[in-house]
Parts: sequence; structure tokens; C-alpha cells
Amino acid sequence: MDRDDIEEGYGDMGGPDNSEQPGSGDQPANGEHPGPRVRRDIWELEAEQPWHPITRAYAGAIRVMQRRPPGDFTSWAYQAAIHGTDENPDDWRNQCQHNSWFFLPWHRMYLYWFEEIVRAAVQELDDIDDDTKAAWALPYWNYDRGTPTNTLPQSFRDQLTPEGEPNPLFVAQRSRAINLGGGLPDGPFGITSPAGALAEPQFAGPPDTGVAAGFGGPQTGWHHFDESGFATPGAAEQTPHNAIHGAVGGRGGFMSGFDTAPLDPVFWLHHCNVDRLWAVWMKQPGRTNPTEPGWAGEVFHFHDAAGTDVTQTSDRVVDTVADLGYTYADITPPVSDQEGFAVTPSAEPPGRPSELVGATDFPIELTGDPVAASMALSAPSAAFRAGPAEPQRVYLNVEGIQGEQNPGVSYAVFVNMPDDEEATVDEHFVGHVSFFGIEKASGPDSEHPGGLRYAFDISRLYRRLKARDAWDEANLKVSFRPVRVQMPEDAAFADVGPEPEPPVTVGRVSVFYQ
Amino acid sequence: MTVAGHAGRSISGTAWLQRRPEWPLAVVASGCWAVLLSRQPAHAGHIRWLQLQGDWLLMLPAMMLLPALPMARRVARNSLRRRRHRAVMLFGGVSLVVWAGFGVAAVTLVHLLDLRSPLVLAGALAAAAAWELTPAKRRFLRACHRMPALPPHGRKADRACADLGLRYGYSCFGACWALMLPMAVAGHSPGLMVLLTGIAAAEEITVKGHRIAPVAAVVLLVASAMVLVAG
Repeated sequence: MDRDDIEEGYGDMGGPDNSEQPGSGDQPANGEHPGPRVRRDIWELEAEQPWHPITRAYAGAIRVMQRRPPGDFTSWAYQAAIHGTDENPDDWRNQCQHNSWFFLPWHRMYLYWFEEIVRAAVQELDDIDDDTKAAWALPYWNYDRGTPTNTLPQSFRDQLTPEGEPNPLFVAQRSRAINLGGGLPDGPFGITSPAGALAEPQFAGPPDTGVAAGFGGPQTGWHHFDESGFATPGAAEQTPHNAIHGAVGGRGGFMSGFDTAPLDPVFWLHHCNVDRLWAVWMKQPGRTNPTEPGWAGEVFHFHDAAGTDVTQTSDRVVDTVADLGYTYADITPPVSDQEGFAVTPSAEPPGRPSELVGATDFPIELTGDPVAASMALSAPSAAFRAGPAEPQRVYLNVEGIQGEQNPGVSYAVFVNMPDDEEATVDEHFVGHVSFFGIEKASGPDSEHPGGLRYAFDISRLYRRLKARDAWDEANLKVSFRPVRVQMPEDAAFADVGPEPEPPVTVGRVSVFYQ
Repeated sequence: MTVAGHAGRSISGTAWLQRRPEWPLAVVASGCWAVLLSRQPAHAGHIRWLQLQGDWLLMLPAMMLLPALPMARRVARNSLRRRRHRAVMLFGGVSLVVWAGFGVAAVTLVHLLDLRSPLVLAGALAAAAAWELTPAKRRFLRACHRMPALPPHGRKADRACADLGLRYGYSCFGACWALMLPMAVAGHSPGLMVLLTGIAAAEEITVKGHRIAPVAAVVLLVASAMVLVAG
């Protein structure tokens, strides 16, 4: 399918041509709906009306999709298997792209075809008005607007719908705290803020050892998880994407697991927000998407609402309005102090390869408490010193992250954090380490053995600490602080208490100069 | 520029080598290829056991180091610069030890039982084709890509590189033992070497290496049939 096919099928409005799709009923003809459809914030919908018609329609469509057999391409189970499955992976299933510059475009395509399938199912619902049917678009969850938006909307936490039926939007397989109204950690070192990701000036990082991966992820080939062997998530995939997965899923919940995450209806709203952040990133000055043939030419397979095989490439999904017929209610870049972030905001990285200059000697166990480790840095090689005296880039890697299960907690990482906690700890903040996909990357028989790896560009932090004589190459300290869901002040939760967190092992923390 | 870094820039030779610290293994492999290709192929008839072992010890690095180069590069780039060559040689050398053991056993067996015949060679190629399609092959291939975090220096670092070489060698052996069985039967056969090395390298290096297996199985079966017909 190319751009012409999409335009022919969907007309100027970007709406689907549902006339031949099963169960479509009466459809608005192409051209009747003004402009692209608008994806709205779920909390805006909730504020207008609890159980807004858009939300009710989503719940009803999920119910329809859940009744379809798993082999039906438009069923709930099949749509989840597209993301990840060990059963019968093929060109459509087990295809999600992670730790790669395909992360954002693939998930944009995934959401697009899911939305088309849901829209078709919405048309079957008798209790949804025609305006909602015509305008329905997947909501997004912007969890970074303060309380209560950092909590799961009530419509996803109610076990019954207003009509007294089992609520398709509720799943028990979530963090208990989240289901009881607990808040995603926001504020300083919280996981909801996209500010760190949005500060990244480049879309993709080079395929080089130890270097950070840019906003969208490193340059790779087809990349389900770790086929390249060196991949690390891009900044948007790190935080908020991975962190939110773990926080909402908790230990063992749907959202915490690679193969189960799409079974939670909030997965789609979360990824809708991540997709929105790509549009926000593009609104900032100087941001461009890749144009390399390797990015544009990789073909991905999906099924449309009729169950027909369709293909897409990344270069055909860069403009949500022109290419896909939708937009977001709000893509205004947030105002933030980018000086505070560790990343270097400008200039291309140097042409020389990165070089490991130090690492911890022993693995680090993350068991739910703050922990720190130290390392000594070696002097760079003579070849490195032949260039500029100071490294142009400094990267911190957290490598070989393994564990049996996502513990549902993230860790904020700091460099040379002072013992006096009244000090300006934010100047030492690097980013978050989260554990989405850890079960796929651990153990000798796992699909992608070797553990997770996170790479952070700490060039600015390095220069800041050096200027204050707080960067000691003989003793560099890296600290990990757990960042958890804010427990609700609720008697029901107090009786249950927090969930135990399975341990995670970090193979080493390393520093690369470039 | 949308990819941070190096697209469109010319890179000096030094920088090119810096990005490929696995080059010592490539040199060893290339040297072995050069020696093997400059010699006459083995012919049917009585060949001394020692010569067979010598051929095997040249074939091993020639054939098995090439697929190992991407992993060797990762070992080197994740080591302190002053240790890179040491790390690479430890990793590569130890990984070949596993194969050397297999070679002694396989070549000795072939020699003692006088199994160097077209029929046995065709059977070995067919067995290699069958192994390509097993779930075990895929598991071993996956394990070949496992890269643990390496300690930065000292004996711990040496042990870790050697341990990785041993585990990689074991995984590689598990994935490719059936591909090397025909070599144990055929001895020094450049054409077969090129074919089998190509299959092993493609499976190790490409992103969806396991998808090459059905194609490789067909190629090996065709080769088996050709050996039978020619024999």
C-alpha cells in the first residue's frame, strides 16, 4: 500500500472507506466529516463527562473484538499477538520494534490499523450516536499534567460499566495501586515527564557501542528487540514509555510484559501519547525525521479493518494528517528548562568512535532500595588524546540488566550525587532505568539473551560537574533510587500493602568518552 | 542530518580500524584461507591422520572466525582500549578450543573407520540439512548472540572474556556442528569450505538468521545430491 492507495481509500478526510468491511452498517461517506479526526486526551474527555461517549464506544468495541476468535486478524487476542508472541510468529505477529529507530514509526502504524479496526467495531454498536461513530479516534493519556491526570481514569478502574456489565476497560492484571487510584510518579525524577526525551536534538543515534540513541532509537535493521546485539532504547522509549509500562503493570501485570501489554486497554492510550510526543518533538525547532533509505525502505505488515494484508514504510507515516488522516488535540511542546537536562542539545556528535574508559567491577543488585556503586575511569588512549583534550561526548551505560520479571518500579540514576540530600540533586540526575522487556532479555534460552542496556548522553552533566570540580575520575559514583507509584490513601490499599518486587541485576555501569 | 553521527562523512583508515577492533581475528582467518586455497585439495585415497588434523586446524579459524567477527567486535568495543586486542584474542582463541576438540574426535573417527567416501559425504550434507530445521539449531543460534557485561580490567576481565569465548564456542558448535561434519569427511575442499562458511556466516550475522535455515537446508540437500551423482 502506498500513499496513493491510502488517499484513494480514505479520501481527503483521512477517514476510512468502510463500505466493504464486515459489520460496518451505515457509514458516513468520504468527505462528510470535516478535517482529520482528532485524538483527544482521555482526561479531557473524563472532565467533559464521566464515561464520555468516546470512552463508551472504545469499551464497546473492545467487547466486540474480544468475542472474535484468536485467529481472526481483527480480534483482541490477535492484535496483542502482533506486538509479541511465542506462538506462530510470522510477518504479522511478534513484530513490535524496540530499541530501534523503527520504534516510533512501527508503533504509529500499529496504532493506526488498530484504530481502524476499533472504528469499524464502533460502527456495530447500537448504543453509540452517529456523531461519535463518525468522529471516533483513539484517546491518548497525557499523564504529565499533574494530579489527577497521573492516575488512571475512573472508567478504566471501575469493574462494572454504568450499565452494570463487566467493564472491558478494567483488567485486574495491573498494579494494585494504579487500579485503586494511585498516581504515576511525576514531579522531580518522576517518570511521566517527556522533557528529557524532547530535549534530544537528533532522531536516531548511530549504530555505535555505548552511545546514546537519540530521541527515537538507534539506527538498526529490522529490530524486534535486540537483534543488533548492541541496541539501547531511544530517549522517548526510555521515559516515559518503558517506565509507564512497568508502573501501570506492576509485578506480573499485562502492561509489564512484552507479549501481554496490549491486552490492557490502557496500552493503546499510553502508546497514543507516545505517538503524540513524536509529533510534539517535530514541532520544536530544528527537528527532522530520518531520510535514510534504511529507515524509509523497511516494510512492515499489518491487517486492515477488513482483515486484508497491508504494508507500510516509515516514510509514509511521518505526517499524521497528510499520511494517516488524524491529528492530536494538543501537540504544543511543553515549556521546560532544558539546561537542566543531561543531554547535549546541539551540535553533531564527533566523528571518532566511542571508547570505554571505565566500568564497575561487580554486578549491582536492585532490590527496591537505593543503591550506589563506584568506578575509576582510565585515561583515554593516545589516539583519543590526539584529538580535542576533552571528550566531546560522555555517555553512561547501564548494561546487562537481567531479571525474571519486570518489578514494576523504575530507578532514577544519578552521578556523583552528594550525600547531603539538601544539595541540588537534580544537577546530578541522568535519567531512568526501567525494565520493560526484561523477561525477553534474561536467561540463556530467552529470545534475546544478554540483558537490557540503557545508554544516556551525560555530556552536559559532565561539563557542569567538571566546572564545579565535582567530577572525580578516580572515584565516580553512580546511584540508583527507586521511583514508585504513589500509594493511594485508601483503606482498601492499606490492607493489601505494596507488592513485593522481584530483584533485578545490573551487569555493570560503564562510561564511554567520544 | 537525522542520524546523529557519521552518515556522509569520509572516515580515515585509522578511524575505520578503530571501529573494527576485531581485525586481528579477521587477519588470522584470512591467513588461514590463503594457506588453504594455495594448497591442492584433498583427494580420495590414503591421507595421513596428522595431515587431516593439520587441515582441520587451518579450516577451523578460516571458517569459524568469520561468523564470530561481529561478536568479537562487541567484546573489543566493550573493553578498555588497552585491553581490546587481548580481549579479542582470548575470546576468539578459546572459542576455537571447543571446535578443536570436536575436530580431533571427528577426524579421528573418520580416519579410523575410513569414512572418506562420496556416500558418507552426501549423508553428512543431508544430516546438516536436517539439523538446519530443528528447534535446537535455532536455540543455539540465539545463544550465540548472548553478550554479558564484561568486567573492565584485571584477571576478572580475562576470565570473563575466556568464559564468553567458551560459551560462544559451545553455542556456535551447537548451531554449526552439522555444517562442519562434511568437512571432517571431505578434508581440505575449498568449494565446500566456501559454501559452508557462507551459510554459517549468513546465519550468524544477519538479523533474521534463523530464516535462512530453510534455504540453507535446500542448498545442502542439493549439494548432497550433487556429491552422490558425481561420486
